[in-house]
Amino acid sequence: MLGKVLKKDFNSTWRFFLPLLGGYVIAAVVGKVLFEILLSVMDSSGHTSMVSEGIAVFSFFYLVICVIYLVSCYLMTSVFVVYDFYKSMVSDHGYLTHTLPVKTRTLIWSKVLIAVLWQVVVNGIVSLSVLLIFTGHFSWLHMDEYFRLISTYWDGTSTARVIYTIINMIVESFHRPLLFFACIALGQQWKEHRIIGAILAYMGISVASQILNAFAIAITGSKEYFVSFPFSGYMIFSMILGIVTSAAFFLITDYMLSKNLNLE
Amino acid sequence: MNPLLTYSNVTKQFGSLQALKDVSLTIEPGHIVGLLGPNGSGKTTLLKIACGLLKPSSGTVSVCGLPVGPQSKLRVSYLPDKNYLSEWMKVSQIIDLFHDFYSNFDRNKAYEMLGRLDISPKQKLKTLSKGTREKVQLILVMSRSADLYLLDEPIGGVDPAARDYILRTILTNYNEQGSILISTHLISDVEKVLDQIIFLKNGLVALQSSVDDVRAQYQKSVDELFREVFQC
Amino acid sequence: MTWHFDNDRPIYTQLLEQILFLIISGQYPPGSKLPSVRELASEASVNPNTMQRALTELERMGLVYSQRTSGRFVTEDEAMIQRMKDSMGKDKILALFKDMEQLGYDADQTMELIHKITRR
Repeated sequence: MLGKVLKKDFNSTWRFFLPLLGGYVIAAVVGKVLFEILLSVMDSSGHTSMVSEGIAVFSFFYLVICVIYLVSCYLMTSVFVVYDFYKSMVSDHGYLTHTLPVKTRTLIWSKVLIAVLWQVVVNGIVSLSVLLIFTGHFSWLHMDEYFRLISTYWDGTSTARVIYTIINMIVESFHRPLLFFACIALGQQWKEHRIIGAILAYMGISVASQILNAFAIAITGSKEYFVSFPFSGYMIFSMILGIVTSAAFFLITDYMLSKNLNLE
Repeated sequence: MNPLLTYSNVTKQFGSLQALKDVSLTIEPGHIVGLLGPNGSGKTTLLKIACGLLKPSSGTVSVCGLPVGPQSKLRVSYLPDKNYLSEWMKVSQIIDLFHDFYSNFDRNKAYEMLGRLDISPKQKLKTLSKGTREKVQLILVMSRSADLYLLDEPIGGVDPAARDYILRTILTNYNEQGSILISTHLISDVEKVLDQIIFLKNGLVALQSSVDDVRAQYQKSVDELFREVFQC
Repeated sequence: MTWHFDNDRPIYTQLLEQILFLIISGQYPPGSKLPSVRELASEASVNPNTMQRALTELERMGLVYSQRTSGRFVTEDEAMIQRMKDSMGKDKILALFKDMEQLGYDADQTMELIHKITRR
């Protein structure tokens, strides 16, 4: 069943993401062209003209807008994930979703996996676009030098940190949508003002996690990420906290939508 | 025969409003039952509890001997009084979706009914009128061979000509071991199609009887009796 | 034929009368096969259980009989159909006299009027 639910959820989300990411790819390609023009204008700075200055200013502002677009891609990913969950789970469309012969747990898993998928896709496309901007401006010969340099100083700690960072990213990409889902599921318990309920739930959970964080810092005594060896106690704590709260959010969502569903 | 649908002492509370008060009901296989009552009498709430969209505050519901859950949902075909389909979808995509999820969905039947009602499967939901959308939803629901059909106001928004076709569709399409529970306030239109009725009044079952028993006992139609019982 | 129902009587008795009329008037001749319950119910737009009840009643009266595998048939007993026909004719005439009485004709005046009309 999960496969079928994934198919349904993918079909209803790609319509949002395709234009968003398509637009971003086009903007990145145009940005690359402008970036090249900007560089060539700056290289030939000996004889500046009004035209080349104009191009430079325009390119600069364009790149700034590109960066804003990039940030909004991340923002919109969350917005779309939240919107899709809200629509299909607790709005009128929930009448269909919750009468499908599928366990609530399966419905939530599908939403989470689709959310993770889109976060990965957005991250991938953004990374590729950054790579695109710099293509042609560093020689692979020098890259070899960099790698040699890195490998000289590379040790167990570095490997552990890379692994930590990757796991942390994975945890984070599950944690974020699950937090939103739990808030929507909690907000659904209010008779009226369900969106306000969800926002209140979000604020409540945020405050709680801030307090937990402060508590963790007080106990582990350090917030410094790169200093202690190989990880600070805080790093380990925050990862465990991320995993535990993600699981808790999942269980809350499942409980609220299977045992306490009240569609009106 | 085991009952298809059983409510045991079901109460539903919405804040201070009691929508259902200790309702106990059974629906046996092979009947078309009218769930009749004025607005706000608890008809929709009763149906939504049986398909898992609302949890009763107390009491239990069983469908085909099962608690409400994924297995019971496969055996229940529910038509809500809401527009529950995504606007961006084409009719054919929705048919594919139903085909994916419900093993008892008959795609050919759905296309046949669409043809009869002149609805193109290529159209998107958002281009269809309100009445046509209701027809599409009813087609989807009736194209499943379920044990229990729960239809909430199935003919409310459609014209009289389509109403007749829909009632005939309901009559000819349901499986004989199954039952249909129809909530409606257009009693005179559906009376002939029903064989049993349930009057719901302020969250209580005021009457459960057969249509012909009502007519024999009161010498009036269910519609007339309804107007009398629920006189304002 | 179109099916029509009054509000003040059970639907199954009205179905029974209308099927009876179809048999008496020869639209379902003696010995002929009746449509299935489902077909008849769909044609009359009534609940199949109600139609079933009307047919069961006709069976009890001996006007139709069912064969386990092949369905329901109109009786071959033409004398019985004739009896039903006579009975229905009688009912209609009695009803006519009653109506005429309300208009102020006694039985003889009614007969006189009938003769006048039919002789013409």
